[in-house]
This record gives sequence, C-alpha cells and structure tokens, in this order.
Amino acid sequence: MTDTPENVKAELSRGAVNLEVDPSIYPLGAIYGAAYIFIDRCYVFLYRPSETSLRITLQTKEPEPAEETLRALVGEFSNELLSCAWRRQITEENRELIQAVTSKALSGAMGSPSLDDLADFDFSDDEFEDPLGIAQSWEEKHGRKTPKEPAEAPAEAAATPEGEGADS
Amino acid sequence: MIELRFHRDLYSAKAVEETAEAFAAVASIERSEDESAITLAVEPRYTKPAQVRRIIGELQNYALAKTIDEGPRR
Repeated sequence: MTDTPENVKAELSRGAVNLEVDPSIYPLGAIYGAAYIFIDRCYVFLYRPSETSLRITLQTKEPEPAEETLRALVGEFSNELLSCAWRRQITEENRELIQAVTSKALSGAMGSPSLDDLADFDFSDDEFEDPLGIAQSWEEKHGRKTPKEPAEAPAEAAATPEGEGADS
Repeated sequence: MIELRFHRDLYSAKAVEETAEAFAAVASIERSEDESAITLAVEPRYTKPAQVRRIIGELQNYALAKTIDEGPRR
C-alpha cells in the first residue's frame, strides 16, 4: 500500500498499480476521464471486485518501471480522478447555463435576421419599473442638477432671507 | 492463455466485440459471456513475454477507449 487518500487504495505489484476506489464518491464518468488521460503511457484495465468498489489497474508501457515511477503514477492518477470528478460536478451544476449559452451562440451563428424577423421585432421602448434606479446612468443619479425653470427662480429668491447669498 | 473479464457496467458489449475483431490478427480470441461480464480468452500469436504483454495491454486499452468513445453509459 502507498500513502494515498483514504478513499483511494493503491497497491503496487510487479510493474503495475492497482487502485481501488469507491464509485459512489468518484462517478464512472470521472473514472473514464482519468483513465483516458493515462492510456498513452499505461495499459489501463477496469474491474469491479464488488458492488461497492471499482479497481483500476495501471500497467506502465515500459516493461520494468522503478517503484518511484509507480508511486508517482498513483499520485497523478488520484489527482486526475479528483479533477475529473470536480469538473463533472461543475458541469452538472451549470448544465442549464451551459445549454443556454450554447444555444444562444448557435442561434447567433445562424446568420443575420431576416426581414420577417426584423418586422416581428418589438422596438418599443416602454417604461419599466425601476425602484432601485438600476437603469439610471451615473449622471442621472449623482451628477449636477439641471438648472431650474426661469419661472420658478424668482419665487425661490423671494423665499430666501434678505442679504443671504448677496455678494455685497 | 489469458482471460480478461470485461464487466458489462464498465465496458460496452459492442466495444468488446470490436476489440476481439480488431485483435484477431495478433491473437486467437475466444469469447464467452455471463450475466455480469464478457470474458475474452486471449492467446497471443507471438510468444515473447514483451510481445504478449503488449498485445494484452493494447487490447485492454482498445476496449476501454472504444467504450469511452461511445459516450456516457450512466
């Protein structure tokens, strides 16, 4: 046995490594993904010794590998397995988003809209509710106030006390 | 003679069939099956240990790669 995570058991035997994993933790898709990456340098064989475990045998293509090579293989495969399982989970969680973005991209790639599409397009610029002012520009929200109407100005001046605001 | 047991929930039957056909030129292969697995009894036509090792290994990889290429099984 080598020092691997508790949920991956590894055993080194003559020129090969046997890793035993729990398929409820690492789904089959992730195991396939990791195994596929190692096909160019190892002979990979999957076996199911029991319902609750799955054995992956990695045999290096070079005939007599050093023990360090086999140990490195165990570590690399464990990392790859974790990476594939994690990527798979992210894909599952974001499946709807990925589908939406993909279909949007594909519909965009279909070319420019036809005249009929343009005729059907709703160009109206109706007001919509915006209680938080999200659709306002920065100037509208924080910029200088627009000058008041001239009709309002004298009435405001009369309301201010005498001398206030005078230069002399 | 080397027996390789391909579990049905790990390997596709079609992939194992195609593997047996693809390696017929370098090995004599007998196929048997039960409920849970397809077993290939492989007798390589070459006798050197390195050649035997390579034929068996490549056969395993071929079956796995074909299974994965077929797409998701679950």
